[in-house]
Amino acid sequence: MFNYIQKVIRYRKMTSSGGSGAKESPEAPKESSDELSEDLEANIQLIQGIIVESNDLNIRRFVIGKKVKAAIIYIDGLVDKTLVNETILKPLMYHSEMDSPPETVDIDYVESELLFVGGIDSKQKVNEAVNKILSGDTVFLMDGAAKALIIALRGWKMRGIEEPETEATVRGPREGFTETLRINTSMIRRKIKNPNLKFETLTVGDRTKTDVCIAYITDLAKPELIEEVKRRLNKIKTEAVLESGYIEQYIEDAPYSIFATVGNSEKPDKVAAKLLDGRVAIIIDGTPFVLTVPCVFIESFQSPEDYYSRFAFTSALRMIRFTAFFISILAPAIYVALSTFHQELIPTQLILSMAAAHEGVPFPSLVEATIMLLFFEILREAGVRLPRPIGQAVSIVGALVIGEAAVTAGLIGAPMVIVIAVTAVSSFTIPAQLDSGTIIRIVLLILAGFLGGFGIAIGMFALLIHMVNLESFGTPYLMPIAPFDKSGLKDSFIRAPLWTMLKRPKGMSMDDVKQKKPSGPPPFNEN
Amino acid sequence: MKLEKGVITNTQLIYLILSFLESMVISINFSYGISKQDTWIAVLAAFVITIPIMLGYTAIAKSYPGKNLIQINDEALGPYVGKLFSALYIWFLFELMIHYAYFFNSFWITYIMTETPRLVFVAIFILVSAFAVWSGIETIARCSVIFTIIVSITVVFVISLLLKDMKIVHFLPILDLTPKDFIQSVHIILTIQFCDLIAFLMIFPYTKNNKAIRKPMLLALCLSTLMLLIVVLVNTAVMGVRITNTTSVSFAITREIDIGNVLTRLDVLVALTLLATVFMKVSVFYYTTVLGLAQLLGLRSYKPLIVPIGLIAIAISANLYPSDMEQVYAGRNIWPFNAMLFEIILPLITLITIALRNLFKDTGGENE
Repeated sequence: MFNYIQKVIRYRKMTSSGGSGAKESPEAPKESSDELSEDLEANIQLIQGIIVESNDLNIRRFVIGKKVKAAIIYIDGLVDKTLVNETILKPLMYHSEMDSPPETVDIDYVESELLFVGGIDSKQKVNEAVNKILSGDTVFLMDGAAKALIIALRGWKMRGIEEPETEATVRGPREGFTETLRINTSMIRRKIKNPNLKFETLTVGDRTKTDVCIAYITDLAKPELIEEVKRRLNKIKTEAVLESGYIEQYIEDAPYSIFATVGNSEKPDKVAAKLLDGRVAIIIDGTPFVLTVPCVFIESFQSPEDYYSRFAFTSALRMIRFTAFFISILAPAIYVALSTFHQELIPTQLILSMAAAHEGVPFPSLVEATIMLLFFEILREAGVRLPRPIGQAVSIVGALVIGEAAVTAGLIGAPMVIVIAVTAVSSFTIPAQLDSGTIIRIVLLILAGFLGGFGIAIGMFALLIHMVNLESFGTPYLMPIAPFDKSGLKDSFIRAPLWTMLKRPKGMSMDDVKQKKPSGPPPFNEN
Repeated sequence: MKLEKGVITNTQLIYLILSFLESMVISINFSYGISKQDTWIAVLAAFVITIPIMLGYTAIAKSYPGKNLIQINDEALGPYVGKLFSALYIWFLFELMIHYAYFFNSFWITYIMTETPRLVFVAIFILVSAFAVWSGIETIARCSVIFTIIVSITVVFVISLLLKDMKIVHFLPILDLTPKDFIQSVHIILTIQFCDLIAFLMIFPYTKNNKAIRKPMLLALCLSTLMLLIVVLVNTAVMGVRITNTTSVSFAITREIDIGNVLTRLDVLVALTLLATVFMKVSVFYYTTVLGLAQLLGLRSYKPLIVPIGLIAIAISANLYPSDMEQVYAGRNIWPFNAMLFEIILPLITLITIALRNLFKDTGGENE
């Protein structure tokens, strides 16, 4: 019966999208499968037929050794012009006359003797050549050759390597990824000098043709995982990929879930660590945010800095983070449940002062808490989007209004301000769960307002079932906790000393290979 | 065809049984009124009797590895009697589910939220339980790990806070009860607490190593009996003979906690923990009911049955007893005999049939 209903729904969906199907199947750029001919002008005509008249397209015609006509085509601004002049035009136009050229100057001779460039490839298809031009390569065409030389002389203005703003660290490398794919891969390569580190590039996006690079260590990442990542990337049907968020939303396991099952980071050291766990990284051209899969819940509580500092303090920090997470999702709900339903749980002195504070407040605590949370979220959103100086001004004004004036005016009770402030501060401790935390907090608050402790418990049960149910690329989302894994616990609520963590996280890498040889107690401690 | 594709490990099975049996902390309340401060002896006696019964259950499961109770009935008892037995078992599991759903919220309504209609609790509870059942046995098993840990922590926490209130003298006089009362108490503990495990005959085939189920089952049984024993001892040591006055002792004793006027009235905390244990229990019964019914009716999936069974359960469970006193009466005097039929007599018939079949198979082999 349900199958039938599902089929009907699916059919309806198909027929209804048929009308507006134009958006579904975007007109891809003309995929000409024409081959290049031996006639230079015809080839240039072909390319000009595909790339519309645009004033950044540069076609430079010249003659090699006073005999053969040739041309280079590139997009102005995407190539390093000095290098183009020095390594292509100069040898071809100048050196070719000085040397004693052979009787016939053909394209192989140009490639092997004249061009002073490292990266050269040859293509026969016009559309391949066009794609390369659009990506920033220089295309060399010459009369009498039915192929194009693709000369890699990309060079454009880019942001330098800076310290990322999202994941600030006290100790650890300061570099962050940039918007250029190649630089990002080089930063990972510099961290992991391992011959098994592999980068594979795909193109995603019918119009944007964005380069998407999969990075993994061949003997650590599971082949099924790599295949799955590739399968999902290849299935993406979209016009544009402008940021890794696009990819993330297309490949995640549970698109309707409030939890992200794809991780992201701006820090090469973090991504390198994840690769070494057997994960797969997805680097997208044009954004400093690199995706890593699989991503489990516990990762939100791990920071690369945890592994750079000593273990006792880090373990304490971990527990603080977990506490903060629970405070951030539960504090308003518990406060409302306590003050509305279970007053007997509050010590007498405290409930007296709370009652006194609530004396003149016209709203029940649920309404109070909802208003405050809403206001907090508005303030946060305002502060994030505005230019920094104005943002600060907004925060100060907002904080004064909700903190001081609302209490003095008797709109909000003072304890509620404390609860919301604690919640807000706690929620910033785990940036990765900021979005899911906000939703959980509000749902639990409403449940607590209607059903008290029972509502909170039921909400937490439902949340737990949902999280237990989630998977990220075959790895259960609550991995070291449920299903329970003893060795994984060493890197969860605490961070055990590094020399005790001999195994990679379970369920992710090829096997439970030893991460390194057990080195026993730390060095310098043998006496 | 397998209705459930999930597989749980044997370790998860231990946790599942543990969290399943942890709700004994509430259902033991039926016994306090009968065996008073000697309930702990009744627990031990019931445990000793339980072991052979559990061995019987595992023997049934082991003789048909990879088959659940419904399939075993079909094979052991033939298609007609087997179907009848299966229908009876499914009814029993369903009955258990609605009773536990009633049970938890009668407790919640009596003590905490006295003015909320029962329907609200039952409906929301079964709804979330349905979510767990929808997700399958793997999810339930994974949740059980977390629930077991939470409950154990709460028990240790509450006990440590109650240390100062415990008095050995509350156990005296020992064995001051008639044999009839003692037997009744043991009977209640046996049928209501331990032999609910018959539901696991539906779950055993989905364990990874379904031939080695005896060890995890007995281990979990021992651990949970230990926990029950500790809880009963603590309850008795704190409450003494007052233990008969309340319908929920574990809950009542936390009201005694008063640490420096700060940690007082932790009863809601305990109530939430107890909620977790009942949640596991209802989920397991819910799951086995729909799974069994789907198997009996020959469906391709058990999921279409979740909503109708849930709705029926809500409707019945919200109106199960006119008052809580009648529930206590039924729990003490009627339910043990009802449960005995399904937990002891029917499995015994199945076991004997299997044994006879094996016997005839062997002799048949010799004759040829």
